[in-house]
Amino acid sequence: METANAAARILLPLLALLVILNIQRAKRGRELFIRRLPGIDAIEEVVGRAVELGRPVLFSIGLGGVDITTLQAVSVIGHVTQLAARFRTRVIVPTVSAMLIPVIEEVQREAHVAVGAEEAFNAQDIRFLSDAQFAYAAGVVGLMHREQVGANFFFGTFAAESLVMAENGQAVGAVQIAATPDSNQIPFFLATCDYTILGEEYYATTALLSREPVLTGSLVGQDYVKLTLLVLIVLGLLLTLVQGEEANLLAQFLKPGGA
Amino acid sequence: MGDQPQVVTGLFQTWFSEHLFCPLTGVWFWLAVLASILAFCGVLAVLQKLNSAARRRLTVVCTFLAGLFYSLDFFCPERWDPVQGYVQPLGNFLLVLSGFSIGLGIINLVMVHGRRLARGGGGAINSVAFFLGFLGMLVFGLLAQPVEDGATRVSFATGVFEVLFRGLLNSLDATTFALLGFFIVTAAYRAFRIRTVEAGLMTVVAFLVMLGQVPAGQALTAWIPEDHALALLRIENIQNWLLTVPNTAAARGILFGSAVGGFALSLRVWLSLEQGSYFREM
Amino acid sequence: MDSLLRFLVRLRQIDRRVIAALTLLCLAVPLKVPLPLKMVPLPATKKLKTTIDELPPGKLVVITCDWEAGTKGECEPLTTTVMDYLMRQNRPFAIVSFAQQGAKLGQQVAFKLAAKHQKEYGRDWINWGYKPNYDKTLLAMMTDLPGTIKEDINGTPVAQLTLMQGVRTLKDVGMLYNVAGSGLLDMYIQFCSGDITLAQACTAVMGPERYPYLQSGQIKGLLVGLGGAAQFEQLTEFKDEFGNPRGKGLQRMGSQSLGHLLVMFLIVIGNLAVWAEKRVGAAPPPVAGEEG
Repeated sequence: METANAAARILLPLLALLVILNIQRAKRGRELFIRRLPGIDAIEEVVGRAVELGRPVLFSIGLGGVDITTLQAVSVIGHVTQLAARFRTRVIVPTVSAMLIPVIEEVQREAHVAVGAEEAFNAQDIRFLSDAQFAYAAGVVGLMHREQVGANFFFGTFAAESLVMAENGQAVGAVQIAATPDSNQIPFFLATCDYTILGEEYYATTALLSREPVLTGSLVGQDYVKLTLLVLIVLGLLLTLVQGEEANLLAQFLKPGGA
Repeated sequence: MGDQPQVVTGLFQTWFSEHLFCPLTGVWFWLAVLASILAFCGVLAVLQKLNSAARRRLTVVCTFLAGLFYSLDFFCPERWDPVQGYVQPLGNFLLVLSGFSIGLGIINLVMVHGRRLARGGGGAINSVAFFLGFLGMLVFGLLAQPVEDGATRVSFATGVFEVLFRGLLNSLDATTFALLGFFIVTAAYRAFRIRTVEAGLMTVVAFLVMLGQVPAGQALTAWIPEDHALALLRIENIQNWLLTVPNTAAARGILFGSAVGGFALSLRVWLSLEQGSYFREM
Repeated sequence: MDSLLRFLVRLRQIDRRVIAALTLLCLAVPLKVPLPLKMVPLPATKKLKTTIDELPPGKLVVITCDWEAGTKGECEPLTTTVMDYLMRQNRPFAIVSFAQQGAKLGQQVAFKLAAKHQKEYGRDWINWGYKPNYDKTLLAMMTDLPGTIKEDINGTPVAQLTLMQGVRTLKDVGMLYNVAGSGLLDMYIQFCSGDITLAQACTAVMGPERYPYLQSGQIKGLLVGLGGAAQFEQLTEFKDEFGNPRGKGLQRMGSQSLGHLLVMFLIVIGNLAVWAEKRVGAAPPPVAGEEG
């Protein structure tokens, strides 16, 4: 679908409005409940473990380029770097996308400045390894072994290289947290990492880390979006029962190029 | 060859095409290159002069405008799309821009390895390997000629490049992927523990799916005739049901959640609501 | 009983090199010593065959080889078996790839099969080559195919090829069959389903995510991993160039069978060892990443 159909023109702004309204509610000071996630709660503990061991932290942002999934990971780099920089612990960030180097550099520099550890910032901890999947994986594995990392973070888009990296992380005795919205790699991360953040939880990471009203409001807004979709699903089911699959008005409205 | 698709001309697109984005030759070409470099340096100098807050405001404005551009293109019907004519040129511009980013990668690699080489010590040998590999690929890659299928004679440079690229890089790529086979087995042995009823259930399902996918497993229930009422209990049919019913439901659930999460995050990034979250608590 | 428990406890300490050696043995031996195995085709595979059979005669099929050397083990048989069936059915096809090595690897498969079935390049099949910038290229192919492709892999303008007569956009082709070892499959669903008959083949690990699209009818056939290739070979009675009823999918099923059995065996003994440890009262060392 190159251009929005009528359904997309109506539904997407409506769903966006739901998110924005909830952000406004949260900004006005309304207390919104969001549940805690063990994987996110453990970030501080995992960084602490690396600090205790006197080993660096490795933060892999996977195979993504400048996209929404990777940008979320970059936000988390800022948080992890702050935690580690307080104790002058390095956070090594290997990347496949050269375009992200200045972005990560800026985020890490600001994180160091924020905790008064400007002198500890080292631009060479952000490393472009290769833009090829397995060359990147081999490079990350090499870094883990050479630097004897104490903690591994795998946040972003991953494919088959996930298991290669996480198993080697196990072998060097690193505590590991993985987070990806991609369900293909979830089983591998579950088997090899200490904490795993799955699917939509991934996009809630910054909200749970900062507890900012804007982000928690957005998260609650997401729930309303899901509720709307659920209502549409139930309505679709009922219409299919009544009108049949072909004549179903809702299906006609939603299908690509429909309406 | 057939009717060309109708593309709406963007605002001022004709003017741009006639005055700015038109092929140049000779002196004009070199003047344009020089002007581009000067303009680039000028923009860079201005950006360097800006303080952090101003730079952030600029980022906010640029992010919003970029998001607005693609939103207009997606939501506006083709007949009234004011930016449609610019989508392709902008795409090309972004491709060129991302091509330049490889320079950033090379600078990063050369700095990391150059410094390590200068310092010497245990890891220096890896840096030597990097420079050899990098220069080898670069030189022979530039000198190599395309190889026709079935060609029996190739130049020295092409031969070396083929060995480096197909013989070494491709094979190493496949080897690293093949390592997964070993890692899957060791991870299954070390980490797959049945401690709860749910974990037990998951193990049973995993075994059924694994058996249903291979002939050795399918052979276990091959004695049930395919057209028999009990054929549902054939292992491949159980596996098929597990994949097409419970798995489909779960996959859709995860997909919905991820899509909604991605949608909300995109909205936050577009409106720069996400931006402040990085270091607000500091 | 005690000695049995102690033996079971020791099973928890199997060295990973021993496990690697066992894996190598289970995977390598059946490649050299073929096992007489038969595959039962599943509905997703049967659906693909039906979709191909129901295509109007002479309609062009597009095969996208979005795979590289890393996933060749699974993707090559998935490409071979369908290409072979298309050639046997005298259905013309075009190869295109959004992965750098895919066009060349697909071409190697097609050359071998063309020699086997006496098919001619340009008349029975064609290779459009590797195309970068996948999303924009695919979108452009939806509106102007010859204008987007321009030349085939040998530099011949595609508009000159008889195979391209009547094909103005991607919507004019009979079927689009994607073979992918990467996440490109979703792009085809997003841009093509609804306008084009779409079928997909992917590596086994990506399979579970594809079933929702099969059920919804957005894809009209699905081959998953080496098993999918083996099922299609069985269903279409594939024969190699020597007339043996064995394609690479079926050949490699022996390795996959033993591999799966080894994984199950290790899961069982790993759990028995933990159980035995509890029985003898030995405090198990904490193992990070244990699930269940």
